[in-house]
Amino acid sequence: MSTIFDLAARLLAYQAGRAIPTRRSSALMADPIPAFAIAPIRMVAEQVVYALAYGGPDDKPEIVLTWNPLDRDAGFLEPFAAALDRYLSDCVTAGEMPRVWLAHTAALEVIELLGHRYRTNRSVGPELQRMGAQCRLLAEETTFAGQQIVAVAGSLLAGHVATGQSPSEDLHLGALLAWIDPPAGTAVVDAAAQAALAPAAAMLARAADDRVEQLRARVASGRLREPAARVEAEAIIRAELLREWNLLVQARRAFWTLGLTQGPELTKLSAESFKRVAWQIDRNYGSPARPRSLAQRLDELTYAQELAAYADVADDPIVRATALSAGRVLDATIINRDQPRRGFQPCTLTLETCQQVLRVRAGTQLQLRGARVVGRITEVRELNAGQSVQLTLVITTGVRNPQLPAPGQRTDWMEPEPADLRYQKRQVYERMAASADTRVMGDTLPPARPQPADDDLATIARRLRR
Amino acid sequence: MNAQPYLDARRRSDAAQREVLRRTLEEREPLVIVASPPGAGKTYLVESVIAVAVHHLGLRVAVVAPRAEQTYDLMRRLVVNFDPMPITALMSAHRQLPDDLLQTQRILVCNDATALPGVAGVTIATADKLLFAVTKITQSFDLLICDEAYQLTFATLAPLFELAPSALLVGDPGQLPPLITVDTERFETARYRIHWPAPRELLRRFPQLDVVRLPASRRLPQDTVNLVQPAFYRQLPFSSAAAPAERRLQLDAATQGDTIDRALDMLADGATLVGVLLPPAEFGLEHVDDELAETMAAIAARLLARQPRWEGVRQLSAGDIGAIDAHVASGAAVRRSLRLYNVPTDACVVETPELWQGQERPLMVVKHTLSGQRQIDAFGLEPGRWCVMLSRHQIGCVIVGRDGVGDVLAEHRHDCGARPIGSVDAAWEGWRAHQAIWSQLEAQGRLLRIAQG
Repeated sequence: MSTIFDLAARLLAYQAGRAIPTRRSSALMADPIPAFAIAPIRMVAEQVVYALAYGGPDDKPEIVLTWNPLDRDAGFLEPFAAALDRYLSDCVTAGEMPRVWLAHTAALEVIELLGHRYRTNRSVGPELQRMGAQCRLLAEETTFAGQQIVAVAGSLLAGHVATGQSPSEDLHLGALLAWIDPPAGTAVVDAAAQAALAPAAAMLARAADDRVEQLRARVASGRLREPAARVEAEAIIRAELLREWNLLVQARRAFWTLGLTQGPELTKLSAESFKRVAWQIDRNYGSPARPRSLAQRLDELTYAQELAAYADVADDPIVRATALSAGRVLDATIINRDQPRRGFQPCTLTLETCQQVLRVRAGTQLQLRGARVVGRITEVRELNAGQSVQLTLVITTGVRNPQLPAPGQRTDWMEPEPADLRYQKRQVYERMAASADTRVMGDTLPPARPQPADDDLATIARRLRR
Repeated sequence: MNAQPYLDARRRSDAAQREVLRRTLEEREPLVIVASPPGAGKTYLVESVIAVAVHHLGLRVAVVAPRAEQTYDLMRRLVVNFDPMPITALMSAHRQLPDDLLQTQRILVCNDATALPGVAGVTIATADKLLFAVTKITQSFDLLICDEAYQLTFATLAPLFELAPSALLVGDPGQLPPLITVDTERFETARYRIHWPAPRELLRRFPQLDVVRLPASRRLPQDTVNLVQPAFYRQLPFSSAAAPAERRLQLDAATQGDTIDRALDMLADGATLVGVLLPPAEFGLEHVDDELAETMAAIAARLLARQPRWEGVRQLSAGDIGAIDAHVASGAAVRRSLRLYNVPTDACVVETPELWQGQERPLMVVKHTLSGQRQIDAFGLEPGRWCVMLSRHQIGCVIVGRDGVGDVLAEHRHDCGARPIGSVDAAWEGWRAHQAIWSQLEAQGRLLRIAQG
């Protein structure tokens, strides 16, 4: 979103006293049945987890917790590990896309932490290692643009609405929700400020954290018996966890009640997401490290990004309008269609547009929105002293397509759907790995193979010139 | 004026070219990297290596470049500058050679990598085309040459190494890096920086490799080199091989005496980089600034109206003036304005820096990448983009922008967050380069301001 558009939307939201949508279509496919939700609580300033609430987002959550995560006993996580594995494996086996809901990016960081901590941890059993692998897989999936498996409610909402507060204030899910569904009788700014007093960061509130810490210290110094301390600490943690869970449930509901449409291109994004997760669900892959795997990962990320950008413009009229104002979409009327034999090449369209900002030039490829009709601009001419522009577009794909536009028709053109060349590239990288050229993989260069020349080569080069 | 420094620069340049020929074709080193400043004769060097390898040594050579136009340019030069040699253009079936190359009938077009000729000769392709052909090529080459190698990632170039035991990589380290649209931070800590420009990654991995540095620019006047070299090429000292007397602009027609004319007069007086600034915009102008586009067109039109002459060389026309705008959309606005001034836009080309790479014109008009911005973004700060824009001219360049760039640079707060060790902070490098150029222009009185209204 451009800065001006974002600013204008925020001003409108401020004026309206509530968030306004910045998209009409959802960037997320509808939830599969069942979906899975996870709300974690971690220890402040430590890389350990206190508790997890999990289960169906419409159901009462299951809870696992420990009041003293510093004792390194991870056994309490086993029921969660089993539930997560069952959910993901069942989905993949059934060919259904899984969907895991998290409240905010802080929760995602905890999932990433679980992955990092347990994936290869030899001090835990295979169940927790598998949980670690699956958590890592989920965290990794979020690095792919347009992914459909992990729904981070806060990020999703911020990507679909504009509030009257700053982007950094939007990072607090409670404050963001206050703008989306302002409570009656309170100014929305006050409601958001009030909501922001409670943490929405997968952590205990300050007072709760202090109390749990105090209880642990007292038990450690022998001033308090453990059972009593444990009961109180667990009650505190449970209450805090349920607050996080409720925030997640509320955010998910808020997202679906935005009433956004589901664009057709979402199915491609879902298929991509499912393929990635299904392929890795039983493979405990680490981060790519070799040139081949690194190059493949870069290709995957790039393709995901291009496909997501394409889907956004194709599916959403507001995104498309923004792209149009930046010249990335062309709104043009067909002036002429030159196709000597109907259904065959060559086919040349003449388009005319009065659009103020154009981002096309000779060589630009364009696709007709909603159809597999693709062409390449060969000429851009200005008419009426720059009041309008005429473009010549040679159709390269879709000359038989019934949606090939006719003269007089008003059309939207956009950047074409990205070509998927990953399979061909994978073959190239496999070949590269097999050849093991030391310039690619080695630490030292192979030796030179001198072939002395009789004469000075620079002199020969000069002589060879005309 | 003493021409000796310029003759010395040319001699040093010739010596560097001789070294490349020796190490590539006599020593047959597995990897030779040539770092070149703008206009130092990269393509001339590549041509020479190809000609000697094919004509004199009977080798099979593969040449890649990032873009198809760059490969066509090389083919043209081989056809024009040398006796016929077997040249094969490996290209997709949906592409066609430009008409002028087809008419020479000296280039064999090959769409199928399995059918490449097995005899001595040169095969020219885009890097992407050769990449996809790797699995089909059955007979290896003797030498792989990569032109504009700093525009290719290691991921693109690495699979090509197996095609030849020797590789020559020629490129300009100061220009635009390969276009990568995804966040690459996670790749910065990997053992192999596959997203880096190929020569940079190879030099990181093989630091003992002796890089050949071309020491002189035949394009840029020394006045420009004095500004551009310290800003963008701290690791690559170079000078100009063009004496000021060879790059003199004469304006024959009378002046109107306004700010634009004063800027043009400065060019004629030997200042090769000057700025014309409009008052700051009331609102941040994200991309398209019609008033600025109109000013750029007015400068090009005024240049033509004043009958410019490259002293001792030729009268200059619209085709000798180029314009650069970093955004396609605002470039279109410049083109529109040029037409209103009756400047033919098929001759006076307006393009983005990406498409200007490898090209030059006697005179350039460029839009400052930070013009009109209230907050600087990474795109505007990219040093390679600004470097390309300031290094296309042979005689002089007028920078056009909104005033206030200096303030925006001064107020910029750099994100000094944690970064992987060894990663290049392009935004910081860009800020530094912008700051250096702007402060020099300001200090030397080269920024001329058009009054409000």
